[in-house]
Amino acid sequence: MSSHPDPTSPSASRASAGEGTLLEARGISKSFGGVHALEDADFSCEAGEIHALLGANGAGKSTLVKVLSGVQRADAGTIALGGETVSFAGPADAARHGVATVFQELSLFPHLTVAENILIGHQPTGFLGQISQRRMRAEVRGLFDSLGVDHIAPGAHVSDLSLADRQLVEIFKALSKKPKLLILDEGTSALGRKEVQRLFDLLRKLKAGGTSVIFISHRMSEIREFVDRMTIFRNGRHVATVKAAEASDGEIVEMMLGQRVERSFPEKTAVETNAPPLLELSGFSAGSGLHDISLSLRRGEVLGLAGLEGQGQGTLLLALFGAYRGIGGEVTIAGKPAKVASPWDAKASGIALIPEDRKTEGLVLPMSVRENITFSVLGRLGRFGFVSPAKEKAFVARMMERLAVKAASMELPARSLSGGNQQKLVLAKWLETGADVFLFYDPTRGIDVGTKQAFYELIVGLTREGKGVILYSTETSELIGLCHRVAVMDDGRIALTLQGDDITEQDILAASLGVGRGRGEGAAVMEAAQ
Amino acid sequence: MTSTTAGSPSLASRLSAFTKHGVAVSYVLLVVLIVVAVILNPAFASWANVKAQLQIATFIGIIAIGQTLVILTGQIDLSVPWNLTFSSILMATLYGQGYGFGVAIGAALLVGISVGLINAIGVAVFRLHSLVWTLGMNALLEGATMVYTNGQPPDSTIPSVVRFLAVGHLGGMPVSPLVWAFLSLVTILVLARSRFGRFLYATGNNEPALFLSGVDTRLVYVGAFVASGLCAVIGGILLTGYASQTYLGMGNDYLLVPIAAVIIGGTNIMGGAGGYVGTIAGTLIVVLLQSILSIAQIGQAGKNIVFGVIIIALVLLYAREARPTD
Repeated sequence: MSSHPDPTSPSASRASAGEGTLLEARGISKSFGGVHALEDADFSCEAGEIHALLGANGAGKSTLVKVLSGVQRADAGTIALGGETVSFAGPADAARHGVATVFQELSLFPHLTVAENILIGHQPTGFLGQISQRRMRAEVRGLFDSLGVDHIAPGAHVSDLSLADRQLVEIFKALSKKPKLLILDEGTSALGRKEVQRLFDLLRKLKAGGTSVIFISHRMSEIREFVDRMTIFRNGRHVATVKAAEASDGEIVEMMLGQRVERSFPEKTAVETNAPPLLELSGFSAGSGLHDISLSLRRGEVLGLAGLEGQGQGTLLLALFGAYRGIGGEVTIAGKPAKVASPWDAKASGIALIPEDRKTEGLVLPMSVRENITFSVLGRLGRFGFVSPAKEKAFVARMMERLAVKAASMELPARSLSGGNQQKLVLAKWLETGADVFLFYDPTRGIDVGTKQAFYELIVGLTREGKGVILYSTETSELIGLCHRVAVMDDGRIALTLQGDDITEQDILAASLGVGRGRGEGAAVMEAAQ
Repeated sequence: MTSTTAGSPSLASRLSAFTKHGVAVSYVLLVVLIVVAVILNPAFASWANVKAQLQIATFIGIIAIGQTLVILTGQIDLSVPWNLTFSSILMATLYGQGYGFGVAIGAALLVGISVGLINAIGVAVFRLHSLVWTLGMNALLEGATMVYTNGQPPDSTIPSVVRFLAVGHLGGMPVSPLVWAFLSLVTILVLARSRFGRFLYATGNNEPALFLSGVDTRLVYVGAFVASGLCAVIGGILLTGYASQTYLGMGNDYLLVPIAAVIIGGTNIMGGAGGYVGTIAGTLIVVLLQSILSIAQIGQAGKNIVFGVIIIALVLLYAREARPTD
């Protein structure tokens, strides 16, 4: 199908170690409960370079960072720093060896000053051993001056700073340990264009001083011009390392995607385009995570949510289900205003949620299959607040048969079932609540292929009954195979909605990364690259 | 990661498998204690003594109904002692001032409902742990009692109906254990068969999952804490009838002992597992234990040590089982 060289071939996959190699990781493997996050992955970084690490969700970038920074131990493989094999006992040990890491989550103390945060753990002391505020601020001011940062006062409280400045403080905290290698995980996710520029000015100065930087970001187009080389990961493996100037956006997207897994999806339900919408959101928002969402969903339709992880897809589903405080905007179902102030309101409005984590949010694991299936409908299965055992058993038996739940007995704890069967229990409790709108949060994550197939049938089955489905999936092939339309989300907003034949992996990924906008542009970029 | 143990089940795993049936453990313990008590003193098996023991068990058992429900949700009610004292004194004082029996009892029950409601609001709305919130409530009620009574032992006039419920007899049977038996049946039925009972267990095991099933979990806490508030009041009223008086500090003995009964009965202190059938055994065990220690002429300090050791040992035993397996 594809005419360009297979980027997964071994010759391209081994990153060669050059003269000034600072960090060299070889054959790194790491798995979590049988899932390989990294498999025989190689990675190397030169001294004094800015090196970007790219990959789709679940490619293994974050795991690699955790291994390199000593947060997690690899199951196999070696790490060499400056030619010497190292094994870090933890992040503090890594920092002593000259590897400092800034993680996605901010770790600052909001009520301490900038200087106190940056020097925490190694504050300069006076002759009585007391911490000297004066020397601390002087030291931080010196650090700021040397790198041209003049807009943050060392004495300011972190709680008064903008998110972008907090991120800078976080970076300076790492720099205060005088690292040879600075690793930034998702450093730009909270930054605007101008702030990214400022950050990279800073990184360039560091580089000029001989420090290497490994930079992980999804915002490929924003960072390309700033970095020297890029390494692309896919499915836990190293795919290629290229000079930033030598690869096009299209080629990089292709390397991130790799070969597609063919899967058969049931035929999509025909949706009457003129029919009035079942669900309509206008100006829907939730706290700081979701802004001005307007969308509509018709009966029989599957609307996909795509985008990088954590761009508001989960917030949208939870907010629509009433599990979020501070929601704004309008929600109408079948033309009538719907109340979604709480999950019980949402349930009464005809909304069902299959949440992200079936073990903690979907099920009460120690309780039985029977009890788990009936939480949402218990009021109907008896009278005067009491449950009729006969009615309950009949209901549960019917649901288990309808969804083909494999369990020896309905009295077994939900914990004892396989992941796929557990997920079926979560769906079962909603099937007869009268819900018209079904919200699925990545329903097939971590379940076997056969059950995935069963879930596709179930989702399409719901649409045949005239229900509407909103499906968030981290597997792009599911979105393509099941959805009539796909809304790509970015930073709490819908960046782009793809429809019909425009729903392709290239377009979804390109829109997620913000490199292409509109119909077929992702593909167009790639064609140009050939 | 590989597990370090394999092959035949270790002593610890067999032990923890046995303790999974906390209710069974508690009934075995109960039978052993009865045998020990009768051996120590054959008069223990006399009807008069059984009645006396049941009489004492009634107060603990009724208060432990509320604690069982609250502990099943993963919370605890530390406001029992002064809720009990305040409501009992209020009832006796109002009755003494010439208000009707209904008004006096109604006021006491209203106190219990209000206390339960405020406790539930702290836990369900403000999301504070009940350990702190209900402790504060207890202190507040203590203060309220002091203000209400000016710190003087109150003049008590006990309605005759209360006397009857507490120490009366009905066809040779003492009335108060019958009251306890009735409330026990209702509790067991509610836990086993009602929607509220189901939701109590689900809340204690995993509240978010119930919340995301579209169930208003706040009401589950309201139900549990109001029940506990009411049980404390009912226990206090019966205690008032039994002692023929109310006094400051009358609730002091009814905080830890009912909680001990719940834990000994096999209900998980972290919530989600157990039930009132076990608590009945737990209640009888603590009452018997107190008697046996009295027969053996062990003083209050020794009793406290024995209780402490038993509670710590059982909590450790049940905690083994609660640990995640992978």
